[in-house]
Amino acid sequence: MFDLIFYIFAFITVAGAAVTAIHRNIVYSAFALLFTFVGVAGLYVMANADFLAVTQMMVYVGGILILLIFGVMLTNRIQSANIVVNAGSRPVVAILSLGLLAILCAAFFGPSATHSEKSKDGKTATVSSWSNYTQQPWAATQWNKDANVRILSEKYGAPSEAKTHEGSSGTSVEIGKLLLSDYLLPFEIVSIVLLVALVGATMIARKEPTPEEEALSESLS
Amino acid sequence: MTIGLNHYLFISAVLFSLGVYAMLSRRNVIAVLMGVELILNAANINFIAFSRFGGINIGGQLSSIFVIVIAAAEAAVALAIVLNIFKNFKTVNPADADTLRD
Amino acid sequence: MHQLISLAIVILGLPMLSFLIIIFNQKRFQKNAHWVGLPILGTALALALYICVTKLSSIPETLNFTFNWISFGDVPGIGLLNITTGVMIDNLTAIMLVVVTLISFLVHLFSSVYMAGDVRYSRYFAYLGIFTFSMLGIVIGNNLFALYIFWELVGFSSYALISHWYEKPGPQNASKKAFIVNRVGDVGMWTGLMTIYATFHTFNFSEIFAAIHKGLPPSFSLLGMSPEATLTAAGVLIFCGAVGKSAQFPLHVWLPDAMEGPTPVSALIHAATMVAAGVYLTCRIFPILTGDAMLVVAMIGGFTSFLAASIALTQNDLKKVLAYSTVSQLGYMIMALGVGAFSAGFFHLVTHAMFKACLFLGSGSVIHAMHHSLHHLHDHHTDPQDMRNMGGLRKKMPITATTFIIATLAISGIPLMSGFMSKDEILAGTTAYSQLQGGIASILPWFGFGVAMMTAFYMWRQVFMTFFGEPKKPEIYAHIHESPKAMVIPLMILAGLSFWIWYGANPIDPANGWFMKKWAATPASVIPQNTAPKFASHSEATENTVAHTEAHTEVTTTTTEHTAVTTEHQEAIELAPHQEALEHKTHEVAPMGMLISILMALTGIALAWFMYLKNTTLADKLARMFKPLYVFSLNKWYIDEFYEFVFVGSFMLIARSCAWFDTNIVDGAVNGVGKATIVTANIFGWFDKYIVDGSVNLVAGITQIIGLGFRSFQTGKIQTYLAWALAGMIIVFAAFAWGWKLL
Repeated sequence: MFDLIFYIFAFITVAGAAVTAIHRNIVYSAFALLFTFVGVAGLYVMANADFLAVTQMMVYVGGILILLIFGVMLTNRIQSANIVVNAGSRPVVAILSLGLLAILCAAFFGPSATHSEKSKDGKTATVSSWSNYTQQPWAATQWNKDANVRILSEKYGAPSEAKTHEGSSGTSVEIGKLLLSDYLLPFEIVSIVLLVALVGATMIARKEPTPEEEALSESLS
Repeated sequence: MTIGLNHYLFISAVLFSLGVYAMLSRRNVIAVLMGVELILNAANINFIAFSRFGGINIGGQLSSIFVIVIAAAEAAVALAIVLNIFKNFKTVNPADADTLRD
Repeated sequence: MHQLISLAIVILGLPMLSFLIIIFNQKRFQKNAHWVGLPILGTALALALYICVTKLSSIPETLNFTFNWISFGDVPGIGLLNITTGVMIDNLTAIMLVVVTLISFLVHLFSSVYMAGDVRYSRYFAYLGIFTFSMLGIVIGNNLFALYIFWELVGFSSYALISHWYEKPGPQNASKKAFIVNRVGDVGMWTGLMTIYATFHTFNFSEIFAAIHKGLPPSFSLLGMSPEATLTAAGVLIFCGAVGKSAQFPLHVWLPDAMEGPTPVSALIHAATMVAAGVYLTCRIFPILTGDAMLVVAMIGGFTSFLAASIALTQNDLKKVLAYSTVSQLGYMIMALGVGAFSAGFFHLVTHAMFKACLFLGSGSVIHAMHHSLHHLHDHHTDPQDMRNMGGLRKKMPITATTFIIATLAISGIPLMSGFMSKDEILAGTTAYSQLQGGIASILPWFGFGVAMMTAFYMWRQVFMTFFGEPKKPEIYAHIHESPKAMVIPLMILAGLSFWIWYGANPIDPANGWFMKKWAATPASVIPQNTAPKFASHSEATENTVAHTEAHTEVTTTTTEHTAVTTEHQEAIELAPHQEALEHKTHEVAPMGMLISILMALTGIALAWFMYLKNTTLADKLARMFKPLYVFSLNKWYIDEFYEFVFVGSFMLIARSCAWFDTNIVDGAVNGVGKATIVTANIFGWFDKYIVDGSVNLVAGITQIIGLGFRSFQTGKIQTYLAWALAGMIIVFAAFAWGWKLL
């Protein structure tokens, strides 16, 4: 059941991405991107990253995607033939992309990602280097609380009672703690970056003032 | 086969390749931006996967959060640029905006 | 400067004045150019007569006036080099002055009627003027160079006068022929002149004679020949000029054709004066003619006289008969000079000038009458010169007929006429020479006497056909009238001059008449003894042994004569032995020759009378009987055709082969070089274009291709950059994935 859901999300993700990358109509692409984002959010959930899944849905689907669709609408009229963009049949790019895929797969699953290991019965077998990760037990939906507590207590001493929320199934607390502790500086920098980017985007995108407007603004100042 | 790290990695690889394909082949700057988003998502999937299955635990999720923030900023700035390009070149085809050649 | 010299120069200038006046006022004198020409020529004639009388009567020595003409200064290798020229008056000059001016004047007079109404009347008189000027120049020059200049001027004016009616093809061709044929002779003459000048550095007659008399220098050599042979060659070469100008075989062909010119011109130029210039030239160079040269001259003259007479027998054109007669008589003169009978030759020149001018002008009178008659009948096809259309004209034209007959008697050699005297002397000299010389010269008397008979025959044939018998064309005859006074007066004057009395008291002893004895005494030969005729050395011995008794008195008389001669020539050169021998012999044979000559003349006249008056069908019968000979003669021995074939044909062949050579070989070579250059240039061009430029372009092209390759990176398209970056990344990845292990 769990696997099936994973595969469904994986399929939604990959199919949406494929349509996004290939479909000639930009509106369809944007719509397919929505599916991809949703699928990815699902995958997040499957990987115990619930906070991130919510963030994904909010920021991507509610923000970035809407922004992209706004962009589409600002640069194209719906009926315009320009919307239909020749998206396909660029063999070189396709080959490059497939090559990239091959490289990535090779890197993830190829010989460099494997090593020889002697099994218990004395036979030598080639096993993936990720095997130790995969061997980690699938901890269902429950975050390994003990592990986290152990890590945190190692750093900051014994956690307070309030923070050990029994039965709490989420990472929000943990993330919030970390953002304001270990990751405070990156957090602040990112927020400033975000601010600057938004101000800059506004600056770039704003309409050039006409000479009259400029004169008016100067006189006002 | 139990869903493991490899599955995530594969999905991320496919997503990354598709993103690259979209980024290189599309004739619309916004579609290119969509490709960029796909790539960022592929990266995020990797972070999450290693966070879940690797040894980095919650750090991977934090990195993903930063990536999402950066992506949002990128989208905003990129769209502003796209609007300017459209204003100046009367096109959203990145191939037509090739004044960099000169 | 002697008074006579000045007068001679004035005489020379007068016709030139006439020429200049008329030629620059052609329009003004279109109708009355003779009013310019006649007074001027009359003055010239009067002056010439004065000179002649003065010279012959009271001035025994030769008058000479020489001045520097061109001074070359000190020429390296030669020394001082001056070309002098000048005027000389001896008896020959004095007599020739009269002959030329007299006939020229009479021709002017005759032409004023004959040429009346001609389209180029004034130009005709102008050319008559320049011709007379040139002829006088020949006569009074004291050197070969001046003679040569005027010689060529004569040729030119002859050309201009023959081609007077240049609209017609006949005169055109005739004038060209005359000019070109004369050039052939003049080349020889010029060569002879230069041969002499190269050694003696003078053209002056007396200086040349004096130099040769002193002895021939070894340097006097033409083409490596000995000096004696060179002297012979020089004489013969100069004589070539005479052959051309005096229409001697083989260059006689131009003279009959020259009859295309106006008839008075024929009388002046082609009968009396210009053709006599050749004889005059031979007279001038007479002292330097060697024995061999004289033989050549005599043979050419003898053969020419026979050839021309034989042709004249069958001609039907009035003027053609006279033309060949002229050639024949000129041959006589040349033959006389060749055999050494100088006085006789020159004598015949003068007498012939008179009666032949009379004959030509008479024929002109007849032609004039015929022409008017035909014009009256509107007949433009009948030939007015054809004797077969005439007959019985003496009744209509008594004066013309009478003068013509008188002149014919003269040319036939009938006693009491001038022609008899001169011809008789020639025949005597020829006979004497042939007996002394022997060998091939033995044929000369046969020529001489044969020609005498033939001359009588064809001349009387002409007279009978023209003036006697029944009119062949009565309708033409009906409109014949005697010519006007201006035409018959010259005829009468010339006919009067054809009598003996002007040249010697005794009509049957010309040798002792004043003309031959005093006026035209033989000049002494100056040639070296070893080049003299063969009979020179042993003649005295034979004379002395064989005829020493009878000849002894004569020898003494001749020596006394020679004292007179020596007084005449200041140089006082004794006659050469061979000349003396010849004179003896001539005296010996003279009576016999005279008899034969009279016999021959009468036979000829009788034959002509029998064939053309008594039995008119006999001529045709004979013509049929001896058809090959008749046709041969009628066609002038086919000499023109032979020349046409051999010289013109071969010349055309040479010209064509030269043209072929030019177009194919020379042009071909040039074109070949050109083509080779083009091919070479093409090869180099190809080499330049493909190898040199190619290598340069290859470097540039490689650079360009590389540049193009690199340029494709710089598309300015962001996606392309990305693609390249991706490709690079893949390569790096691949290198990390596999390459590392391989390393």
